[in-house]
Amino acid sequence: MSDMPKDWTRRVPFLRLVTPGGLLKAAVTLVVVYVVLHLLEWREYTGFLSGTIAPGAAGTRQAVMGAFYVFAYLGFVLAVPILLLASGIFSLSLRIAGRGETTSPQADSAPVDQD
Amino acid sequence: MADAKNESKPSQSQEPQKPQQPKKPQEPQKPQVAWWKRLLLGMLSLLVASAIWLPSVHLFFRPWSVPPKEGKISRLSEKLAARHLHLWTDPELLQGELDKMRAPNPEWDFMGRSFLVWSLANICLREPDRKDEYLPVMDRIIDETIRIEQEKGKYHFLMAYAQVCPFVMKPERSQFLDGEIALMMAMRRLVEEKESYREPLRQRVDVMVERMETSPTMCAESYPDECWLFCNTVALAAIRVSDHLDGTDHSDFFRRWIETAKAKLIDKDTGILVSSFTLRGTVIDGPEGSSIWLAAHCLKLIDEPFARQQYRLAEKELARGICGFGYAREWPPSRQGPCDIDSGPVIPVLEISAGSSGLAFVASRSFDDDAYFRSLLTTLELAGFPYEKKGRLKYCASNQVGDAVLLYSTVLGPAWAKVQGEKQP
Repeated sequence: MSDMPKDWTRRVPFLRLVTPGGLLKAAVTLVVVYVVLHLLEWREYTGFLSGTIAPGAAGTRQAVMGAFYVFAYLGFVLAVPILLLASGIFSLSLRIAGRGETTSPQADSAPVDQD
Repeated sequence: MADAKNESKPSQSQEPQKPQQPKKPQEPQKPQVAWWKRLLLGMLSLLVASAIWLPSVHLFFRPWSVPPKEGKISRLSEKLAARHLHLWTDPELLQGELDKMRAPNPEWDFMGRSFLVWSLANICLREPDRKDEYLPVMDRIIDETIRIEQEKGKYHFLMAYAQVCPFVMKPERSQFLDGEIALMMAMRRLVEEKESYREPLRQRVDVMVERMETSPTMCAESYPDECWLFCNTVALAAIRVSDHLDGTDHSDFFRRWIETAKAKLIDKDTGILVSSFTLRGTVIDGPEGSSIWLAAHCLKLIDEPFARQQYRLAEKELARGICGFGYAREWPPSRQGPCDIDSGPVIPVLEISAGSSGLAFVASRSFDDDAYFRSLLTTLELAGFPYEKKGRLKYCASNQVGDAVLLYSTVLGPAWAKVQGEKQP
């Protein structure tokens, strides 16, 4: 591990997300995506869930738009609250864990509340 | 303390000082957590947050109350009905909706009409003040449906495979059309007598009874050599309402139908009536949610204890819930069938069926299973994608027939109660 660059964790997108701020950013992104699709009224195209698809290419396109909306909606309803809660819990747990850790940056460590 | 702990870690303390450290003077002030510990804490936080949120999310979609079984209709029913009335007063909007439904299944065009008329009849029985507004709509739907049947023939409302081979019984008719049209006319007359429907209803009832009597299963075909429990129990309900209206008596016919069904149409593994079979009684599809839920509701008029038993068995085999959200399977766990137009898309693993779940609303309401009905409504609010505009409500994930079934489930009760001679709400 010592031959790795000390800030290597910041170069891994997934690990960069695993900070309270990262979770918060993910939640905000999901909210923005959902709000945009909702304002575009893509909710109207979720009829594909009941097998109701207009004939032709327009129907296929609308079904794809509906599928995007469904994922965005599930992200908003299920993932966003989880991310917000997790962000708070994570922040608190890092503070508690950080009390017993070093105050100087090390090869395999990162600041507690860093994004 | 932090420094002391740092010294106790050889790998960290042996690391040479790097020249860029002074570039970030503020960072040393913050406590540091090892990356693996940070990752672990992050994952744990997500797990804890999920454990808190997922079991609680249904509370945000759970309706405060279920629509009343008696008296005035709920706000939900009112908004759904308003949307349907709007559809039937805007030809362009209606055609667009029907085209969308007819593409995958022409039956939905027909069933959407039936469930809407049955719903409006129940609403009128609850709130007679609405008769002036609703009866003309009911009459228009019935008249137009009969006209289409006469002009375009029975195949207009049937799926294409109906034309692959001829019907066995002659003259060729579909119990699907006869039963639902008869029940539409009967329900309309239940609200207020309409002379011009008296004779057509009597004729349809006579034809249905005659054909059912000659069938070994006491069921008539909906498709060539294909009898459906759904269609035949709707026909039974229509005959029963007709008895109430015209003073006829088919009680012996009903008794023999129930005896025949118990002898020939019960699935041995589950005890539930099978959904489709040939005229001779060879099972095509076993028990299915998209059939048994409505069949149990209709059989309530014929033999309530048997209907209730069928509902309980179906509930045991098909009704499911997860984290407060209710749904229904299309097939019992012991029997798998193909995903088809009746089941609707089936979500794997949980086996959630849109078709079965939609009709489960009707059965759970009919048999006063408020807990299950409410859990289904909770799911509908989450995954039905409600869309309200100008007091008109529709569920975007559904379609006109789905919304009509839902409307029917929220208003049913008075029509059956009137026929059974119970106290009028």
